[in-house]
Order: sequence, then structure tokens, then C-alpha cells
Amino acid sequence: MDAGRSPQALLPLPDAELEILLALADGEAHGYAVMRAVEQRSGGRTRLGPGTLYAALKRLLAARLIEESGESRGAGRDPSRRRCYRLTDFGSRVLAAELDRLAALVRHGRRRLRLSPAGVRS
Amino acid sequence: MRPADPAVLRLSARAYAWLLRAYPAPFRTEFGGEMALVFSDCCSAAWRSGGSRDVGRLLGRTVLDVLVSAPPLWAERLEEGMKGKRIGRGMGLWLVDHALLAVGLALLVLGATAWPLVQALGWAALGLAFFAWVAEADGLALPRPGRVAIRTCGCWETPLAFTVRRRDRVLFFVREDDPEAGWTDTYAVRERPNDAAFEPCFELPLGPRSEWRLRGRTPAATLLFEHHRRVTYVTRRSLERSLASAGV
Repeated sequence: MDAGRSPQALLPLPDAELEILLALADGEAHGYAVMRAVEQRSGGRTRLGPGTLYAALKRLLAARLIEESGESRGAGRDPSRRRCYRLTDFGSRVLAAELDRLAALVRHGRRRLRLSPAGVRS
Repeated sequence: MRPADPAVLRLSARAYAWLLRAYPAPFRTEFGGEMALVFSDCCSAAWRSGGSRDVGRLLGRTVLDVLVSAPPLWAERLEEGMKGKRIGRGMGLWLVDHALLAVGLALLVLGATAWPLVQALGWAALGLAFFAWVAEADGLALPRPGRVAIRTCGCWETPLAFTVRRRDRVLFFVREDDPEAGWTDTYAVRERPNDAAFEPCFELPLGPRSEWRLRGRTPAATLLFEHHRRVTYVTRRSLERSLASAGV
């Protein structure tokens, strides 16, 4: 269904959506797990609130970059069911295209500042 | 060791349930339950790590999160709503409806370019406009220029029945029922007796001995309805016209 869509048309991705796609690249997860994964990856610098998280999930679902993959039960005594999300094939392609775009931007920036890969000005 | 479910967690959950009202109803219906669960997980984690101080910080961050994430969702809704709107609607009425929004934006621009103090007024106007919008999405009828809020029953494009308040009187419009053709395009206008303690609906038996006095009849086509998501209005001018044609 998404064969005719170009990933480039959705770039650049907003920060929250990029973080969520990165978190889902490891496999399916529910909202809270995505939130924790983003916080851990960024060392606590990026914290998605529930509103930002679910507004971004809504947009990603609408753009078919992710899909619901079923429900999981909460941990421990928590009986509530939570919806899990996973990347679609198209979502993986969009994420790869965005990472390529960012990598090209970083390479260009480094060249302009004459930075070595370690970040030291040569 | 801290208790597992202290009052502060319950209060936070209640506060967040209240904050969720800032989101558009369809979004709340789809994600509100999950958002409340995620918030409750965050609260529990904050409580374990730093007690009520961390829960307080989390609540503060969450209020900011609501302030940042709700307006774009309302903007999306407005955009969706605008797509379905009939284009015949008067620009003048639209401007009056959105006066607070327009004044707020103008004050913000003015504040940014000339008088920074004016910006506070601009934010206040935008805040009021936003909460008026939320209130209406929640079913509260706002006073709208040129329109009268009605309580409807069987709310299609032309409601089966509705009540409208005119000063101290309550008028009940109900489409007449033809045993063969079904609901007709003529409203019977009835007036509520002074001691009636209930609101009518279209199933109300309105036989010849009913205390709901028949005041006249008017064609449904004379009335112009404006349907918002949870509230329906009728334009004041069309209401006056229909009441005149019914002889009320």
C-alpha cells in the first residue's frame, strides 16, 4: 500500500517522532516503554510527556509509519491492557532516510568547522 | 519504604484526569485511557525515586506538556472542521465568533513590535478563546452573536425536536408525524406549561389534551441550524421568522 510513497516527503521528522521511531526500531513496545526508552537513550535529557507522546503516536499512526501490534498486560499486579506499537516497513524506510539525512548534515557541518571525527578542531 | 499507593498518587491521577479535558474529545476517547495509565506509571516511578517532591515536579512538567501538546491537536481539529463547513456562512459572523482569537493575535503582534506589556493581554485573550473552545467541545453552549443555543432530540441536519428558551418561556418544536409518510417537514410549536418539571423529547405524548399548548406550525425550512460537535444553535433571525410564521 505504501510502495508508491516516498520517505523523503515526510522529512525532516519532528524530534518526538524521530525518538519514538528509534525506540520502536528495537521491537514493539507500549507507550510507557517508549517513554522510558527515549529517556534512557538520551541520558534523561529528552523526556516525552504523555500528551507529546500520544499526539506523536497519533500522527505516526495516521501516516502509517507505525501500527498497533496488539495489547500487553501491565507489569506486576497491574491488570490494565496497553496497546503496543511497532514500526511498519514504510516506517523503517522513513527512519533510515531521516538517519541518512542527519548523517549527511553532520558530515557537512564537520567539514565546515574543520572538525575531526572525535570533535576536535584540526 | 514508602506506601505503594499514597494519597499524593491518587490526587495526581485525579488532577491528570482533569487536565485531559484540555484535549479534543476524539483524541481523549482514543488515547485518554492510555495516557492516564502512562501518567500513573510515571507518578509511581517518581514516588519511588524521590517521594512527593518528585511527583510535584512531574505534575509541573505534565502541565507544561498539556499546554504544549493540546493546541496543535485543537488546530488539527479546527482544520478538519473547516473542511466540512458550508461556504455560505457569513464572514462577519465568523469574525465575531473568533473575535477573542483575532484580538489576542493582534495584541501579540503589537506586543512583539511595540509594547511588550500588551503581550500579556494577548495571551489572556488567547487563553480565554482556547478555554471557550474546550468548553463548547464539552457540550457547554456559549453565547454566540446572532444565534440561540437549542436542546435537540434526534439531532440530524433538521432535528426531530428541540427546545428553545425565550426569556421566561420554553418553546418546544417537534416535527409532526404522518402515519404514512413518517416525520414531516413541519414543526408544531408548543409552549411548556409553567409547572412542567421535565424537558420534553420527541416521544412525549402530545395528544389533544396535552398541557403543552399548541401555539402554531412552521415549515422546517425556515429554520437555519448550525451544528457544532456537541452543541446546536439556530440563527436568531430564522427563529424569529419561523415564530412569526407560526403566529407565536
